[in-house]
Amino acid sequence: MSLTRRLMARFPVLFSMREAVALGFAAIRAYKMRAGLTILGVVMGIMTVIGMSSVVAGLNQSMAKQIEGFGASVIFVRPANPGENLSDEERRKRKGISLREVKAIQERATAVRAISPMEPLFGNVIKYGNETVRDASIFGTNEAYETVHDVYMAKGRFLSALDVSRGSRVVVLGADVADALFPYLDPLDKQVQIDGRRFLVIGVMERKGKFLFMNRDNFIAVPLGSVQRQDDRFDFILADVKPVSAEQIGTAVDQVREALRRERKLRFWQPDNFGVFTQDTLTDLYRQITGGIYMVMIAISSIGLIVGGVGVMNIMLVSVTERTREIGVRKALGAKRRDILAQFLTEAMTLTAVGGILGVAVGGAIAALVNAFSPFPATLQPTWVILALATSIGVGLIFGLWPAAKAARLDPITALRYE
Amino acid sequence: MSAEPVAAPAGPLILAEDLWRTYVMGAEEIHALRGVSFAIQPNEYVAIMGPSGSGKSTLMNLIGCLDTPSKGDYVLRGKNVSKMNDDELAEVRNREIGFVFQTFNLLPRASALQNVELPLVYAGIPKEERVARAKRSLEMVDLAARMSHKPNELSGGQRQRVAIARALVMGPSILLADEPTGNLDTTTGNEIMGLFERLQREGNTIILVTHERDIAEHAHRIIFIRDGKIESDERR
Repeated sequence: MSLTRRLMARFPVLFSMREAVALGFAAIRAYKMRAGLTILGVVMGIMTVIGMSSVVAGLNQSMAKQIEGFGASVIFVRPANPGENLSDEERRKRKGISLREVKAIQERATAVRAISPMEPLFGNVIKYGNETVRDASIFGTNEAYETVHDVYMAKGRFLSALDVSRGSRVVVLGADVADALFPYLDPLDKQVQIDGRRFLVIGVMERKGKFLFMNRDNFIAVPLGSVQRQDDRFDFILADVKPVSAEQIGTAVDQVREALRRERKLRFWQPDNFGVFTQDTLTDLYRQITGGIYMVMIAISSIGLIVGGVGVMNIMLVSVTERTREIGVRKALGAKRRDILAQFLTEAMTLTAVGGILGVAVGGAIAALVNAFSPFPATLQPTWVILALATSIGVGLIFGLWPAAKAARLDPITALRYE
Repeated sequence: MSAEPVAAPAGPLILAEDLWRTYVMGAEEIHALRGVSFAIQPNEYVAIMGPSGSGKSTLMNLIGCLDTPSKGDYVLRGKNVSKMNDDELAEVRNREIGFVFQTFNLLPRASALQNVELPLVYAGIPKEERVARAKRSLEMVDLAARMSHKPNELSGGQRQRVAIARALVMGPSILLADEPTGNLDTTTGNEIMGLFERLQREGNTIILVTHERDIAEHAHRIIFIRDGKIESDERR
């Protein structure tokens, strides 16, 4: 006997899968309302998985692009590390680095190629003629910014060392700011007003693109110290540091920390009162957040799937009771236990698979809507679609098992006599 | 176990020896059958008669391999069925027994053809062969024209003929009919009884279980059961 013939002899019902699936669909058609309510939980669970995984995957993709755009080997010196758990009081005490500390780093950290201090100057208004920009990020910085952040100029040039040492009233505009102030004109060599003082536009930076809510083209650079701070909440200086090479980034981080600790006279038992971190730290933090999103996603969808599964179990138990006589007839005609088991399992799996397909459809639609109408990118992930469908069928298998076993165990005589 | 039908061994088709069937109800033991013995030859037409509570349904369940005796031996075509488990019994029912029920017991959502196909599904027969054999079986009961109808689109007599086609489709050793005319009017009932006679002439063995004397009269032998015992066994 060939293998297929042997299999057919052992599991005849497997070879009438089409009939079993058709029976499942017939049951759904016959009890549309009941079946619909039953699989709602499965639909919700699968929808959650598909929707959230699409959004997270979209975020991942744009994050990867951003990391490339950021230039991977930049060291950030900030009052605190990202994700660092500080009390309000401690946070208030934290200071940005001073220009003296910047100088100390420059002198002592040999693995550092360039350090660019940045003074945030939020709250200043920039005007040209009738055009006004209020929400741009203005930074007072030095010529090193160009090196540290791989700035490419669309027009003109970046700040020079001379501009900074003289405190020249010159300004470099981000692409969005340039577009807003000069919709029709060439911005170069125009005088813009910052807090009523005139600044000469010497350059426009190349467009860098958006990342989530962060717009890196809404940016203005002026020489450090040339503009008065307007908002006292931002009374600190940040610094971005470029190591001599990507391989030296670890050494550079250590050297920057060491220089700052010495400058601030920290004892060996005292922790850093500043943050020095790299792109990797941000990536790790991001992974923690998306990891959290995945956990929430799994939790929500598990609840949905369990609720759906219990519903399926319930509807299958009802179905077994309603069709007791049919089971009796099938057994009288020669159905073995495993035939009845396979029939009801297939029915349960058909139910949940339909739920899974609906869930994928609704989740995919949600992902498409999120993509179209929100700042979050979203892409449907084939892996998650397959996983979700497999899970929904698995739910049918698990929760259908008991009712199916109950059907398979029925005594044919009692079942035939059932009214 | 071979899937191919074997030539019937010499001797009776059914050999029942001292069949007992005892049900335990709490502390009480109820003997539905108390030592029933008989033999049925191939191509016989036998009626089993008896009032309700006589044990005739219990006997029918044993003959139909839906149940096993508490004591005694039931040998069907040379095979002792008495000690078989559920799945072995299912296989015997599939190959050897063709059931015809009082209430037809067709699957309501399936067409006549699909209903007749059902035993072939459980025998593991491929689709094309199933359809061909089911069609031939429906032709035998003159219902080939109605094969795509659902049971609720058929009359009572037609439903019972579909059920008979389903019982015949595996080429069973026994056609076991339980009050086959109980849900039919007299004219249709007579038609069905005529069909049984024709099938018997064509070589089938028929066992008819009934409590109606004039239905039993159609058979060539009547076994009368009372209080779990054979009261009379007359050939006519």
